[in-house]
Amino acid sequence: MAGAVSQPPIAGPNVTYAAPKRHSALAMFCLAQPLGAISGVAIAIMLFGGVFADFVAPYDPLTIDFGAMLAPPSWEHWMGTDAFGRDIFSRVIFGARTALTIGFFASLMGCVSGAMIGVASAYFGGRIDMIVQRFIDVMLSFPIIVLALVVVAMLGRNQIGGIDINLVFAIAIPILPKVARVVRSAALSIREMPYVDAARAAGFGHMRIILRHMVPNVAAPFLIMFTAFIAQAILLEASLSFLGLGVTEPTPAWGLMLSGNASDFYREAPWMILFPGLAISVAVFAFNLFGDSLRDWLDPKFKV
Amino acid sequence: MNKVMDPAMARIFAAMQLVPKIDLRALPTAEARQTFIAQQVPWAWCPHPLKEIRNLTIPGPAGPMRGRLYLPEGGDARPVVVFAHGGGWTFGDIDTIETPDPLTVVFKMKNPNPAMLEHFASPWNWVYAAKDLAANANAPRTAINGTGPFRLGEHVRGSHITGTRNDKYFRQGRPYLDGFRGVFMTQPAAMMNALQGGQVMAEFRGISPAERDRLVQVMGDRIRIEESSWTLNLMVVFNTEKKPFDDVRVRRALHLAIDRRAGAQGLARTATLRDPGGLVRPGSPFAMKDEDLLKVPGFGRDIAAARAEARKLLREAGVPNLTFVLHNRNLAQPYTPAGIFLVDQWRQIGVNVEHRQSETSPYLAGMSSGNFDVAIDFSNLFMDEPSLALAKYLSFNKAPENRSRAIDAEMDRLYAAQSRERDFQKRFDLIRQFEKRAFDQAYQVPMLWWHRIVPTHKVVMGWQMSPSHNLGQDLADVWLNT
Repeated sequence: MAGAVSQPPIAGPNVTYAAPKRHSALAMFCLAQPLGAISGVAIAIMLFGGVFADFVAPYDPLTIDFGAMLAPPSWEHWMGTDAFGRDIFSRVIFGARTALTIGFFASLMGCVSGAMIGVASAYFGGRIDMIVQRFIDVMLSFPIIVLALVVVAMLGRNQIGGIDINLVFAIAIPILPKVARVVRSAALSIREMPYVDAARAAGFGHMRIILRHMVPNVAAPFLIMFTAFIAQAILLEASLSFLGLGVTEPTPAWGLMLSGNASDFYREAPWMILFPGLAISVAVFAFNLFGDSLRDWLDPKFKV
Repeated sequence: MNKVMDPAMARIFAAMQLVPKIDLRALPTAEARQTFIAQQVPWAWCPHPLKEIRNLTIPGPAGPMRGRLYLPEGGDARPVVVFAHGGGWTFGDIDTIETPDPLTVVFKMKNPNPAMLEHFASPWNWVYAAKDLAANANAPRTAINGTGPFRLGEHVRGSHITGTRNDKYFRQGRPYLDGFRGVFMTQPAAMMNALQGGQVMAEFRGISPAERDRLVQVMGDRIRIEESSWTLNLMVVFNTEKKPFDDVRVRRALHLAIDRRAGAQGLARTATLRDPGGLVRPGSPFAMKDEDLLKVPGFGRDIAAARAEARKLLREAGVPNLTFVLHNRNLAQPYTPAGIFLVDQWRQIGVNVEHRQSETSPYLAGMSSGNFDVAIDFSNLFMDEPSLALAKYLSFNKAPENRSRAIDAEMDRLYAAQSRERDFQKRFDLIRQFEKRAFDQAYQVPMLWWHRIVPTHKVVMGWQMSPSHNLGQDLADVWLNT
């Protein structure tokens, strides 16, 4: 190159820059949210137990053994037996299947329908928003357990494939207004975004704008609520089963294990209520903690 | 023609108009009989003294016919009433009820009925003075007199009932108590607490074994426990109008798979169920003896052989992997334990059962409409009388309370024969034949009989335990040793 003056390299310390370490999202979550990671492990264990209960559980959860009635915890029966001689450990494992199935589907149903209503309400605004929100107000005025009790009493039972569909409805309906209200508040700000205006200006229909442009942008609060409401749904299912309105005997279910004969024998056989109670507590605690951690991790406001 | 009605007849018709219409065909047979007998009472209000009652034989084209002449006093110049009866009805066994003097009632029977004296003692019967009925034909529904030893104080629905001593009770010196107060509690836990706290001194219906143990543990020698077999049983009912339960092999297989002996031992600790038995309460005079019961398929000790036979029958019927819904009542005692037990028993022969429990109203609606596959039914007998106990097993067109909806002329015939038989041993044998037919066909089979446990405070004296909570509750002999 004409006129170019070659210059000696500048002497200095030999600095090497290591390429930034690439952590997986999972590892980053574990590092940032250790409590969330622990609760995630607890959830994974429950999921594993629930899915593979047939292989993990040492006994059939329904088989009666009158020779082992009310046996205390031992090597043979880790969590003891109930008033029918059924192995409580096996019933707790199978109970995870019941709790997670109903919890997952009820939360999914409540959250999806609530999110749809919330987004639509925010998008259309005006009179539609006002009417929808007053309905939501009415639903929110009922305590969650009362609303579930009313719904389950009205619908009765309708078992399909071993799952009481009406019970799932009964649990999903109280979740719906809570999700709708939160999602609406998130969607209200999204509605004002220029890309929504652009989509409207491009002549897209309401459904396309809602589904393609607004719903994906409320995914973060949706996911957080979905996780947290699984805990609520598990608790609600346990409560309804305890009250005799949920799952029926002999299906293994944690709430059901606390009622019936357990109330007759909890003095002489406290393990009948101790372990199912612990299972409910751990499950609810784990899902709540996981939901909180997920919110902290996903929400930029919490990333300090 | 002038339309003139006899004043006494007019009063009877007026009384009949006041009483709600009851379809006797819709009632359980025993209850219908009682109602029928009660409905006949107004016809005994005869204000005209009768000069003569004479049985007649009237010649007819197909042979002689029976008749009866009622001739009033006061001359023969009176109109004649001809009352013709089609005949052939066998529902009521009482032909006439006559009251020749104020303290005598004469029942004339159409048919021999060894259960009639028991029927007269039924707790569902009531006695009213003729003047009260004449003043208000609806009195049995609205003007409750009392229990005999006690006059009704007050009844507050869902809360309590009180009674005060009847000083004119026919037994001299009875009752001992000045009165009683009965409280209605639907929650067993509340009743247990009231018993422990002394607000309630007896629970007469019956408590569970766990509740008994708790009371004894907490109250020690302050509580008295009395136990008896109970005139209540749980039954397994197959809806014979639904496939495959119209096949006797399927019904018998499910009957054979139930290990009643093991169930009796295990459930006795947790539920108000105990005795395996036939169709008549175990321990009662007409009950099958246990050594004979052991020989009945489904009640023996060799459950492995019974279940092998059950699997074979299911294979022969073409339903080796049978699946059905068990319709049950949503009550903790003893329905839920019974349902858990049955599901386990049937799983052991490869049958998959969905246990569906309903509140009492939909449960009963499902039972009466036949909207079920297999159900747990109950039999609540208010007395130890085979004619009452077996009535539930009559054909559906004779006994709507037969939830299996089966029609079986042979069982009807055996029932009628035992109900007319006055010789104890012959009747006992007829009842065994009826039971054999019932178990062979297995339209509905007893599961286990209930066990009654009654706690009373030790200060409560004079009460006698009975096998029914409907019997022996007049409290005439009860006193307090305070």
